[in-house]
Amino acid sequence: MEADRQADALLDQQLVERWQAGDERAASAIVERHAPALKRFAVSLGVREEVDELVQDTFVRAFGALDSFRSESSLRTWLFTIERRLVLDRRRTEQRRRNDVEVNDSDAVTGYDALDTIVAEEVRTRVSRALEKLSRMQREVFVLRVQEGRSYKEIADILGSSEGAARVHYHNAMRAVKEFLDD
Amino acid sequence: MTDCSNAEIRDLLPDYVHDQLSVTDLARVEQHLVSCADCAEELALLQTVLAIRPQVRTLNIADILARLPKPDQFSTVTTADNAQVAAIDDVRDIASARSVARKTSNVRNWRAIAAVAVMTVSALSITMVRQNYNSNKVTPLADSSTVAELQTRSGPNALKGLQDSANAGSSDNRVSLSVGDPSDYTDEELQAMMARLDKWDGSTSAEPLPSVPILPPGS
Repeated sequence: MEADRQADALLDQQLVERWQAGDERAASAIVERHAPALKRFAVSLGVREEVDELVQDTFVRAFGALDSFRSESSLRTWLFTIERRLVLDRRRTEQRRRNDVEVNDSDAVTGYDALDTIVAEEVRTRVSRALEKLSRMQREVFVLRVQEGRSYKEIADILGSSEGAARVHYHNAMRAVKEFLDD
Repeated sequence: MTDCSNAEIRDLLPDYVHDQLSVTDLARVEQHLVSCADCAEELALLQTVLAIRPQVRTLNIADILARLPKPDQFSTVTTADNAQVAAIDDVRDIASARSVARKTSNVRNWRAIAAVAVMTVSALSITMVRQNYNSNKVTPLADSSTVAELQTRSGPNALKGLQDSANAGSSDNRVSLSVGDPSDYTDEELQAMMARLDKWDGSTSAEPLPSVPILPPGS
């Protein structure tokens, strides 16, 4: 619900203010609230090595620049933005060939939630392969929209794009996934 | 799979999966799903995509917290009934006080360094101005008795040479500093300077130099 989002945003803002006022326990609460999503997003971006270090770097970078956080976007959106930039920097620095996302990567995937009990293994595998076929931009938008529940505006903020472009990428990705599954 | 023509409802489906719709939108979507097989199928696909979301291992929160920068300010947010937090605050206060003391000490050190620098520059400036003044003011430093003595010892030519070199220096407006290379001067100028140095022996550099004009011979 929208009210839940607003409550989350308010809680994040309060935690940020408490940390800025010197309460280190607020930092612990912030990390615990967002670290799992950051690690999940990193895996979705195709990061397969040193994922934990990437999440740590994201928090270190974010806490070092918390004064610049204006709450115009949600804290998680802001963290996603930082993490994505770090991923891009890492790719540029290492100059290595980018590996495609493997959502069933053994380093990250350890199980499935309760919904998987009613999803056939074959369908799950096919959908995973369909996601692997998407372009990088399509996959990032699709993951943020479907798996992380981000709005088009938040996705645009994370990707440095526009809401319209995010919407187009999402629908193109959806069409590509459907076509893959129909084949 | 085909796409429903209702793009607005399709845009809301991911929010429906995440239970992020308002009451109004939730009712619209559920009503639409009853009669739209395409959207129902797309919804099932979205639920599958959400289900295969990577499940990450637990992160070591302590490792992350250990690397975080410390907040700059400390306030009363920490509760008084939490002894551990209070102890941390005490440590912070001590650290903060030390930090302030370090900053104050640094300011004092910089002020002292700045004062010494200003004094040094001032002394150098005075010295250079004085030397410049002396170099330009080539008027011989001898009084009438010295002139008489010079005439007695060396004859009128010695004084004339001294005067000529002084006049030449004045007409050229040459600025000669003591740090200059001796090769910058002519032999006559060097001799004149040596002669003046002989006259200055015993006089301190801090004392103003006499500026008695040279009187022409016989005046």
